[in-house]
Amino acid sequence: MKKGRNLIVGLLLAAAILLAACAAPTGGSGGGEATPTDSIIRVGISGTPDLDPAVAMTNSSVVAAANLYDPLVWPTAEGVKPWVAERWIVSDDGLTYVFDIRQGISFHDGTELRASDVAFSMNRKMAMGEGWAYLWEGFVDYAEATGDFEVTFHMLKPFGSFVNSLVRLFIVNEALIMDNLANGPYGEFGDYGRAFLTNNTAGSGAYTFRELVHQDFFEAVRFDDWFMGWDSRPNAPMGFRQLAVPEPATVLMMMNTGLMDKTDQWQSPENLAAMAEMDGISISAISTYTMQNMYLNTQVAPMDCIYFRRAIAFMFDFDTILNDILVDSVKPIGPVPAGIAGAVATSAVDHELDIERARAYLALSQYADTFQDYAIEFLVIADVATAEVVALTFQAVAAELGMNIQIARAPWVSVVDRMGSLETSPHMVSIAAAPGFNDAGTYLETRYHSATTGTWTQGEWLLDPRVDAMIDAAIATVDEAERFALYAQIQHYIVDEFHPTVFLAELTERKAIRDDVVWPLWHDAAPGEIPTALFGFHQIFADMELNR
Amino acid sequence: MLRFIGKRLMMGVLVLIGTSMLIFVIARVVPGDVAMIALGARATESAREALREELHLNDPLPVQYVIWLGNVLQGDFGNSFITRRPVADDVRQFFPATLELVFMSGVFIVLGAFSLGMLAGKYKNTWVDGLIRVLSYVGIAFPAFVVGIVLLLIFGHNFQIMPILGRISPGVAPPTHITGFFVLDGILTGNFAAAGNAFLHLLLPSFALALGPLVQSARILRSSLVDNSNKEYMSVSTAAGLPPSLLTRKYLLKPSAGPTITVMGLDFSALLGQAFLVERIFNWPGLSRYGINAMLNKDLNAISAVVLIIGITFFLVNFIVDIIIVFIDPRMRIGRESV
Repeated sequence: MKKGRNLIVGLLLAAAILLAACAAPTGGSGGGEATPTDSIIRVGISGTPDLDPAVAMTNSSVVAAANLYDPLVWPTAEGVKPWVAERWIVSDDGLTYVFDIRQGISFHDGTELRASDVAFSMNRKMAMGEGWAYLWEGFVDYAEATGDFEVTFHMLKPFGSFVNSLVRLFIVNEALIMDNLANGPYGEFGDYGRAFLTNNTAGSGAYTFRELVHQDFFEAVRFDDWFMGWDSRPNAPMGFRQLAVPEPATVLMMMNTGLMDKTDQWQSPENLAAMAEMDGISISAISTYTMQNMYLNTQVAPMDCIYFRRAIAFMFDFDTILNDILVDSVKPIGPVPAGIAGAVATSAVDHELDIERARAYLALSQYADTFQDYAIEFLVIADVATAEVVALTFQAVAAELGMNIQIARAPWVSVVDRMGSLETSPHMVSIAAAPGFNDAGTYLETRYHSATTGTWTQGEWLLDPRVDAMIDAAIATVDEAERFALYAQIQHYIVDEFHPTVFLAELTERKAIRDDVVWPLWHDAAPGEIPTALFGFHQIFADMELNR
Repeated sequence: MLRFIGKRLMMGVLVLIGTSMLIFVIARVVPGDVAMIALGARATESAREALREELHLNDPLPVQYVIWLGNVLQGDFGNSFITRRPVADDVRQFFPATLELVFMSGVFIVLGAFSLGMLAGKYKNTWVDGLIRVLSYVGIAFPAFVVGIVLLLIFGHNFQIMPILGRISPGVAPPTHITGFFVLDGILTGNFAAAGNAFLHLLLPSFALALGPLVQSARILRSSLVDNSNKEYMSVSTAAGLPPSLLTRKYLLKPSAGPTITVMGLDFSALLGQAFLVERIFNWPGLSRYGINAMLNKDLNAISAVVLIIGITFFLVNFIVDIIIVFIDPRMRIGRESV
């Protein structure tokens, strides 16, 4: 009798769940309270973001920062425009910068943004030493509020592009952070609000925190009192949701079922082609000035011979790479992506697949008779399918010349680790790098200064004191014309005297996007033009429109 | 019986200590400067050094282990480099998701394996047995992630009648957190809409995960049933006129279920680790996906925690299976008591 009653109760419970299941809407991932999903834009991204702008460096984190926080100045194609800072002056010696802060900017908690918040944001960033702090390390001494709406930056030495670099200084709410300190290594500042900002934001940007489910999604909603206002953006998304979706088949299904509006840039050409066939989906293409480089380790045989490195540059099939593998990407002009302030065309523009020229350079090399004896390691990052295809095409050409190319695959962590020392760095490794802001000098410093050897940003191990001195001098030059002339000299010098890198492509990010999303950066571009924007500022959701 | 339980518990503790030592050492000797990976290539040296100090990486390995174990015994696994918050918080978030998925798979495995196994055993060497055999080969041959992708294509592309991704739909509020199991929490809080929605989300990934172990267990059960049905005691019982249902339930199924339950126990534990690809495909925010991300990013504290938790679960499940087998099979009980 009791058994029968249990059975009936169990059946009733199961029936209730099934009925509720049928009544409930289905599809999608996520959580939180009921969301008007039609009014938010859902974008695929490689992982959920770190919400602290002082450490943000990954794709999702940098995009989130640019939408949740306001920077001191905003990047444009020509340089920067006023944003939180209305105007600024620099002292003649280039050691003092004074910024006037715009009045009437509200943080998400309603308090007003003041100069002290700007100074706090810079000092916090420098103390923590993570993220983009390296841009100012050795240059910025400290920042202080010299009025309610005036902030002064004191420099240790001149930094010509300092104002341009401030696009990476996002302003945090000092009072909110100081109210939420935890134990940490920064003395009276505890953890500087590090723990608090893992699940909260302290910004004044267009969108404000709503929900973060780590490794699943991050969602933000419009901040109604954003200082730029919403009147001119009636169709801007009411919110955005970053979806951490790693599996291509899953992305395909989410686009097909309308659960995602825009994919990430890591979809294979095949997956993008499949999505392009679906109704209401197009393929967008933009550039974030990201350069796909082939680092050549200049310190190990036979790569330590410039003629050998020159030969390598004529063994890549650029047509295939740019048209079929890294589709829509652009041939680089030199070490710095074209469009970045101070970039110039160098002799690298001549690089093409030319086996005879490669053979001629090999003949000039000190390894002309022995290069066949070397096993040359070509390291590719395991998860990047296109990198391996590039390696295979190169290997086939190299085989014609009798070169022994060993392709090795390694996860990103291992690649970074191996590049940490000269002894373990490979002969060749293909890595993409983007400038932190619109300036050739800092990018050249990141790529070729001796200070960056042992990091993934430089696999060439150039270690040349003259290059170091040239870069240091150029970056410290305040006059722009003079500075750009120095940048040009460095670029020519590096290519002509060292030839340490093969510049494979200026990458174009191709993403599938639903037709009811208007992305002005891409939609407003002329036919055939690849629009460009600084990494992180290429997905400003307040500029987009949802026409559902 | 108590001595048996005590012995198993003691053995389990020793195994877990060994596991913790092994994983602690392995996580720290795999290549990669933890500070550089966690903070990025351009973090200042002082920031990196501060992190090394925080993690006691400058101390000898045995000292690091003792400090780590002491913290773990207090429930503190340290902070994750990926999520930048306590690993314990991550585990609390991700583990119920995986456990719910694996538990549902377990339901599929038990119901499916016993149904198919008994059917195949009852109709041995008929077309029914043949059909189940073919289904079993197919189920074993296809890895869970292939089954997952096929289900995703069918229900995400051709027939959009089932939710394919995540734990709950965007338009549905998750139930109030009690256990972390959305279905159970929905029922406990009376939020049947959320429970139902979460239940539907569970079906495809758990079935994809369950299919292989399900058909494998069905084959084992079928073989055991056929073996035991040919034994003399079965002939005697049949000749004595016992009803067929009693014969099957009490004298055939009970002794035949032992090997199947043992394998199911092992499968259930193994599913915790194997769930990774299924979690990726169905965008399931679970512990397996978290664990793999931790390993790829050398997130030391997270790696240690995930492996330890899977180890503990493995031990507990097998411990329970051992007890169940002792209860359902008198021969095991007698054997252990005589020892």
